[in-house]
Parts: sequence; C-alpha cells; structure tokens
Amino acid sequence: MTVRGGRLLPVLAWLTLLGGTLVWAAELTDVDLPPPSGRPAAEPAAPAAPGPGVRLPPARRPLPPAAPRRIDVPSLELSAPVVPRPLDASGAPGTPPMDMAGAVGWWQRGPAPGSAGPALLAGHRDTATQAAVFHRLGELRPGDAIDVYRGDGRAARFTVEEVRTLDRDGFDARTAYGPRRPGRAELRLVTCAGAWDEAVRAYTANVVVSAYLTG
Amino acid sequence: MGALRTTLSCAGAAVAVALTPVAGGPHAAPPDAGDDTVVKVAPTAPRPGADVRVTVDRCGGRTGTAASDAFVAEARLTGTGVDGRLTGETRVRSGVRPGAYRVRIRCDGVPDRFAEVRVAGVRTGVAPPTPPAVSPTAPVPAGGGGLARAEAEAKAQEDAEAAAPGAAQTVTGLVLAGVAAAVVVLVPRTARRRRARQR
Repeated sequence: MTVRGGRLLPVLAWLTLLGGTLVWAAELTDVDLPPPSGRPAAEPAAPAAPGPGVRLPPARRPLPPAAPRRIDVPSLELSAPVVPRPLDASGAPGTPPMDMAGAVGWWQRGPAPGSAGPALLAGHRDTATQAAVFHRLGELRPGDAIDVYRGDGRAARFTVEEVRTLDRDGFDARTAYGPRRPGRAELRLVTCAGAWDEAVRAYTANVVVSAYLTG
Repeated sequence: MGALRTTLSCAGAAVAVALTPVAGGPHAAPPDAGDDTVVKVAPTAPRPGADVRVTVDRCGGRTGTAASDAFVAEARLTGTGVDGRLTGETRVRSGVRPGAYRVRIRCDGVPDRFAEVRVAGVRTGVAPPTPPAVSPTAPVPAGGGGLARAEAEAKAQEDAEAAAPGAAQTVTGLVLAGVAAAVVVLVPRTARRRRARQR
C-alpha cells in the first residue's frame, strides 16, 4: 500500500502539469478570427439598392442650369463649398487641390446640379494625413437627402437612389458618370474607396452615390 | 548668335525660323536682294503682348527698322558685331488678332524687304491644345491615403497588444512553473525513500 501511495503523488503531479500546459497553450495561441460576414459596413461591395422599406419619391422636373455653390448632406452632417473644376489630366472629374480638401469639385462642363443630366461632384476621401470632405460618403443609403445650393438662389434637393463601389481596374465611366434615366436631373457624388495602394499612391476603387432631383 | 541666344532664353519650344521674304506686291524685294537676305523673328509665333526680336542679315548700313501692324512700334535695328547683321526688339500689340502680319524691313542703302510674323492664339510655342474631352473617362483620384495609413497603424498597435501575454496567462505560467519545480524536487526524493524502505 505504501508503494502505491508513494507512486500516486508524482502521477497526479504530472497529470496536473500536462493539463495545465494544454490549457495555457490554448490560451496563448488563441487567434481573433474576423466575424463571418467580413464586410466593412462603410463600403458596400454590391450596390446598395433601396430596401423593401424605402420608398423613393418621384423625380421632379429639371431646373434651368445654375452653378452650384454649396452642398449639404444632413445624414453625414456634411456642409461644404462647391468649386467648378475641369477634368484632370487622366480624364477624371477634377477634385479641388489637396489644400482645399474640405471643398467639393463640380465638373463645370457637365450638367449643373438641378438641370437635366448627371451633374458630377467629386471630393477627396482623405489627404496624406487626415480625413477629407467625402470620407463618409460610403455611409449614404437610398432615401438619404442631399441639398445643393445654387448660384441662382435656389436649393435643389436630391434623393439618393443607389450607392455603389467601382474598382479602378475595369472602371466603366458610363456606369459611374452616365445618365441613369434620361431627362431627369441627376447628381453623382464621387470619391475614393477600397484599399490604399502605396505603390501607385491611390485607392483601388471609387464610391459613386447616385441621386436625383426630388424637390 | 544673338538671335539664337535670345531664342534659347525664351520659352523652350520657341524656335527661330528664317522667314521667307514675301514675294510680290508693290514693295517686293528685288530678286537679286531676296536670295541672300535672312530675316528672323523670335519667337516664331509670338502671342499678343509678347516681346519679339527681329534679326536681319545683310543690312546695308548700321541701322534699320522693322515695322508691322502687329507691333506696338517699329523695332530699331542696330549692329550685332557680325558684319551686316542688325537686330532689334519690339512687342506684339496685346489687342492684335491671331494671324499672319507683314513685317517691313528697312535698312540703310538697301531697298525695303518684307517678311511675315505669325501671331498665335492664347497658347503657342507648345503643342496645339487638345480638344476638351466630351465626358469624363477615368475614376477619381481623390485621396492621399491618410485614413488608410491611420487604420493600418491602429491595427498594428492592436495586434501588438494582442500578441503580448495577458495577466491571467502570466499567472498560469508561474503556477505551472511552480508545480514543475515541485515535481522535479519531490519525485526523486520520494523514489529514493521508497527504494530505501524496500531494501
């Protein structure tokens, strides 16, 4: 009996040690797995079309052209000046210079916001160091309101109908900038999205918000 | 050489070009003078308001003039040090319309000669302006990467924190080490005692 009792202690001790080590190792190698959905909320990969609960208002008749002066997006708590811009060298609607990253560029040779056709407003997502005017653009959802204050003193209210992300690779300008329904006064808000590519110093995608005149 | 230097000091694309004397007209140069006369205007196609330099070879005397409707005043031509070469400066009228204008060269002792200056539109000296694109074709380059960089840094810091062992893990580790030490010390002793008893 003494012999057996003498052997029990080391066996128990070794078992405790082994079990403890296993638990400890499991804790150490515990890896944070991403949530199963894996989709960042701010940048929908697929177009955000109106859900069943969202009823979009009818389109309003276009206004005569007038240059935009200011844009307000209440749901993003955004209010920014709008400056006319030409196309840039690459053929993209021009954004304001980086030292005016709080302003929005309007493609001046295209339709004016409120007049017939798609008016293009482009703004920066960020500068090299901080967030810029359109950094929350991807959070807009169908049904959200956009107000554009124009040089003729009128305010044009637009309603968002779609938010989509378009990759730079295989970018289809007609999808991004072309009219969705001819005859309407439409508005596109465009900025960068996707991942930052340090090699070419650009984001890999654009987020394009489509809206149309409703008031 | 003076004309060349002037040219180089102007816009890079401006090149002096020998202007052929304009043939015909009541003041046309006599055939014998036309062949060996060289008139240069630099820049070749000046914009309205631009300074121009006129250089004339084989002028008869020490002075001369170059006059044109395109110039604010006639250019007074003086010697360059090169035998028979005179040069002078003037300015294109700022209100002049783009197009070709006749330049009358008058040198002492030589019949009047005529050359041509082409006044260009707003953009000259560089490639002709490309017609504006009808509609945009490219995605917007609208970021400096600041947000992405900040996000990457925040994630790196989070990862570093996650990688370091927590307090609970440290305590568990210490307890296990203690048990291990106890086993190492106790087991041989118990075994020795057992062996001694068995003997």
